[in-house]
Order: sequence, then C-alpha cells, then structure tokens
Amino acid sequence: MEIRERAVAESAREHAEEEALAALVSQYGATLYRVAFSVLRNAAEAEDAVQEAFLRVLRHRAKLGEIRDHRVWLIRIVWNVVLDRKRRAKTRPETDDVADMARILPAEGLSAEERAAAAQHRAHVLGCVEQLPAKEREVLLLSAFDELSSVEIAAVLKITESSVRSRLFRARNLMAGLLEDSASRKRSSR
Amino acid sequence: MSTQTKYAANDRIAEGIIPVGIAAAEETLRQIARLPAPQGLEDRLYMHLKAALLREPRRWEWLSFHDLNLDWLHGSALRAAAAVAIAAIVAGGGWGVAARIQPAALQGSVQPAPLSTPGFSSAGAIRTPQTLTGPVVETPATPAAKPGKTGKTKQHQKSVVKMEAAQEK
Repeated sequence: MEIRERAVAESAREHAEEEALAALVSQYGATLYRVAFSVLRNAAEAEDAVQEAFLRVLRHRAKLGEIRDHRVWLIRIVWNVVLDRKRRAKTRPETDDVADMARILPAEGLSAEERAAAAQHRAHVLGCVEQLPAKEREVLLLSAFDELSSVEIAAVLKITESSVRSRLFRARNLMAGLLEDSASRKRSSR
Repeated sequence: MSTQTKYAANDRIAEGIIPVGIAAAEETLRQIARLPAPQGLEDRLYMHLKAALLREPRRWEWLSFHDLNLDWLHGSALRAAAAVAIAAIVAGGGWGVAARIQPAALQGSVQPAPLSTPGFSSAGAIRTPQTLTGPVVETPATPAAKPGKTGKTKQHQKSVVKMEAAQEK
C-alpha cells in the first residue's frame, strides 16, 4: 500500500508543479516577452526566447518553492537567454531590426510625413542605444520597464543597486553625447 | 553622495534637467517596453511546456508497479522475507567482492620487482655506508685477577694440576 501511496503523492506533486508552471506562464509570460523583445527586437525570436526560459524553469521546477520573487527570477532567466541569443546572432545586420522596430512603434494621429520622421528618429535613437557599452545599455534597457525598480534591476543583473544608478547615469551621459554628435553631423551636412 | 540623493539626481535628470534628446530616447525605449505581447502567447507557451513535460521521462513511475500483479508483496511477513533476502544478497555480494580482492591485494604487496628490468643489475652487491670513526672512550685497565679469587673449586684446581703432570710425562 505504501508504494501506491507514494505513487499517488508523486503524481499529486507533479500535478501541483504543472499548475504552478501554468500560473507562471499566464502571470509573467507577457512581461518576459516584452523583456525579450526589448533586446532582440524580433517577435518570433522573443517568443522563442521566452519558451526557452520556461523550459529552463521546467528543468529546475523543484526549486520553485525556494524562490522568493518569481517575477525577478524569471526575468533574470529570460535576460540570460536573450543575451546568449544576441551574442550568437551577432552576424545578423542590426539595421534591419532597427528599421522594423521604428515601423512597429505607435504613430497614431500623425501625418504620413510626421510618421516617417518619427520612425527615422526612433531608428536613430535605437542605433545610438546599440552603440552604448554593454553594461550601460543593459541598465538603460531594463530601466525602461516601469514595473522594474532599481533594486529589481540590480537583482536581474546581479549587481548592486548603486552600480545600477551609476551605470544609468553613465548611459544617459553617453546617449546625450551620441545624440549631440549625430545632430551636429546632420547640421554640418546641410 | 548618498544613494538616495544620487537616485534623486537621476530622477531630476529624467524630469527635465537632462537634454530633451535623452528624454525622447528614453521614451522610445519605454514605448518598446510597453509593446503588447502577441495574441495567444500564453497558450502557445503553455502548450509548448506541456509537450516538454510529456516528453520528459517520469522519474518514479517504476516504483508504482501498476502493470505488475504484485499484491502478494503487501503481506508484512512476505515483505520482511523479501527484505531479508535482499540484505542477504547484498551482504553476499559484498563478501564475494572482498574475498576476491583481498588475496590479490596481498600478493601485490609482496610481489618482488621483475627480474628483467632494463639497465645494469647490482649483481647482489649490497652497499654499506661508510661510518665515521668516532671518539673512543678509554676505559681504565683493570688489575689482573688473583688465582685464588677466580671462583674455581679446589677439586677443579687439582684436576688441572693432574692433567699438566700427565702431559709432562
């Protein structure tokens, strides 16, 4: 009888794990997708990355009970997956992604000319972001998520909160320099 | 500068002290971060996970013995007998291994070096290390013992005298 009871307990545990995973998917799937998309800027790749992240969760589902903040834990997993993928796909030209991205972003209530200008500006901004050093770029990208506090960004990147702040400060300064350079280049070309 | 004031400084930058270009750039990033996830994403993710779960081998399924008719194993006496049998098999196996390994280990420890070693042989020569001649402690000369005090019996002395006389003859 004991063996059967153990089997029943085992299947109950597996069922509970399945339910916990389903809850994680429905609760954080969209957030993870947005995090993945902000780096990869490609819908299919972002979805693949989220799937890979959940597969990693599945492999370590026994640890689920020990995790205090599932959201930050999941974002950290998807962040690592995304960075791996980005590193591997470095040969692909990023200019295409940037142009696609600029097209996807909302431009309601704008004339065709204004829309084109907005798309150009966004493409330019994203191009500047890509020029930032990795550490600063990562903090800047994560800081764009309203739902992530600086403490949570620090937890995702495994750095201290003060490092997050100083990197964000540096990223903003560097971005200002890059934008200023490109603006002066435009002015001189006219 | 404390972390709080530093953070406040960053906020001030975001609120207007920073150039408009940066604010616009950050707004672009925020727009990307706010882009909605595609329709049916959760369903697709869940189906994918479900498929992965089904592919995964069940860890403890072999323990449930569902397919085998092993109800007789639930009797406590039979279970105890099975436990004893398993213990005996394990102990017997362990003893067998130990019995097989021990003589080999002993043989290995006393095995002489192979004769056909390459190079010159010592031909049985044993090297004795040279020892230093150390200081000799001089002992004072002891006086010669008197014949009467040797401890020999009179009868023995007489027999010695007789033997000497016989030799002279």
